Amino acid sequence: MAQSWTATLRERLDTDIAYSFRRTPITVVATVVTAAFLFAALFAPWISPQDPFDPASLDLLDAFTPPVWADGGTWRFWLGTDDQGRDIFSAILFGLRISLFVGFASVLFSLVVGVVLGLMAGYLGGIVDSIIMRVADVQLSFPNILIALLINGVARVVLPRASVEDLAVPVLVLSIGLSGWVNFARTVRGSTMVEKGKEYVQAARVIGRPTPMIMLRHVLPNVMGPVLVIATISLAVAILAEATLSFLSVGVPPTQPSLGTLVNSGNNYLFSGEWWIVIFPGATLALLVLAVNLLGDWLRDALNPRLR
Amino acid sequence: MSLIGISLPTFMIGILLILVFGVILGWLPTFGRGAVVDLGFWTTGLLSLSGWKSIIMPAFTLGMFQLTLIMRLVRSEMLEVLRTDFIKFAKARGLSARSVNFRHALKNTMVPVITITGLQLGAIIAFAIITESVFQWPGMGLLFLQAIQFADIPVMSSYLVLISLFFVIINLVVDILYHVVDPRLRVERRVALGN
Repeated sequence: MAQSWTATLRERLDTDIAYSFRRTPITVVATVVTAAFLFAALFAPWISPQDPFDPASLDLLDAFTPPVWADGGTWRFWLGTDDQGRDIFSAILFGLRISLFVGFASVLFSLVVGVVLGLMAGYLGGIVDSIIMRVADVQLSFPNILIALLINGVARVVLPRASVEDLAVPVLVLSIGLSGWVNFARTVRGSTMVEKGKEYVQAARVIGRPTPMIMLRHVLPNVMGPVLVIATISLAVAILAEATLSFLSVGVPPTQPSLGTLVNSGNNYLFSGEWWIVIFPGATLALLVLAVNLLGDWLRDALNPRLR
Repeated sequence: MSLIGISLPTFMIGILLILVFGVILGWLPTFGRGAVVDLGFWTTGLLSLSGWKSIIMPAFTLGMFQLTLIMRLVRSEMLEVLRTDFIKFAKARGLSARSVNFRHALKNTMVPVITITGLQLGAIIAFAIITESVFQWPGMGLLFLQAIQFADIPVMSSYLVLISLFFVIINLVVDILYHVVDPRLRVERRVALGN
């Protein structure tokens, strides 16, 4: 087996990566912002001043409190409240949690599906390759959102009506994950086809290792490098997809709102002047996606040997 | 800069536009397609002032994403092309920076840009669903969204069939355009044909 990808990564961390990381201040900022969001999402129950899911802590008299700097704002709800008297800041923290969870889970799902299928297509070749890649081509010609919407719609039809709300998050992860596997599969297939012809694979075959073993233990570690970059960019795409589906009210139900659901419910109050209900969750979402995108962009440029 | 455009979700662009131009300034209508003119075989909003006013914001929302995407694409393509030898040669010949950038480099980025733009026409159909939902535009996308919410299978499947037809036609046109735009492909074909 050639040098493992973790070792390669560690070696690169010592030199090029760390150097280019320090040289681009915007990446450092993006990392800090992403870390802050992750921290806020993880410790939401402890940071947030109010539990937005506990009806007992909500007071309808607090409804539509504007942010602290506007007339009638208080420090108790420094980003204002929504129509139920729910603190926007707490709702954003909890929404961030669900958005990030769905994002990570669906990227993980499409990573596993994409890497396995790409590995099979690249290593086995022949009819397996043709079938997988034709399916991928068909899916690639449709936009991601449309596919996620479709899977979501079909799931709504198949599942019994009562369980649709409980299963909303798994269905969402499934539909976003299935709409994003193609990028992983194509990249892994490409690099697998290169690795397949190398000597260490031939050597493993000569000593009689079974094919699945060669694929998983020998080829897989050597094709995982670019997958990391795609995963980062896919995370931004997945968070956006989740927000979009939730905004179209086919995503997470309003009982456990994500950032997209918050924007959706706030959208109803846009015309009566309560702009803070929609703008703050939306701004959080945009900032999060921007930070992740910046990270992914930098990672791609830093790991691309052609640009060095 | 272009990353901001790609990170801002389509619906947020729409909502911001509604907030600024619809609610605060009150210049443009925030929903619907305005007054329509009935031509007998075609009902259109393009012949009335309010129809034109109501199309501005949805059109901008839909176009914004494509704009940033193409910007990013041209940037990355330019970065790659500017490293090639023929650009170095053009610089060595003493050509002005403007001539090198626009006449030599930009020309070579155009092939992928045109193909991607064509393929993005398909994405526009998907983003139309979001835009129509934000602006309550009574279109096919909104119909599809309502069909999903009510689990209306016949509407969902006929929408899908129609969209697939669009995709097939778009992809065919893009494939043909590929050969029109890229002279290398034509040469290869001629070689393959033996003349």
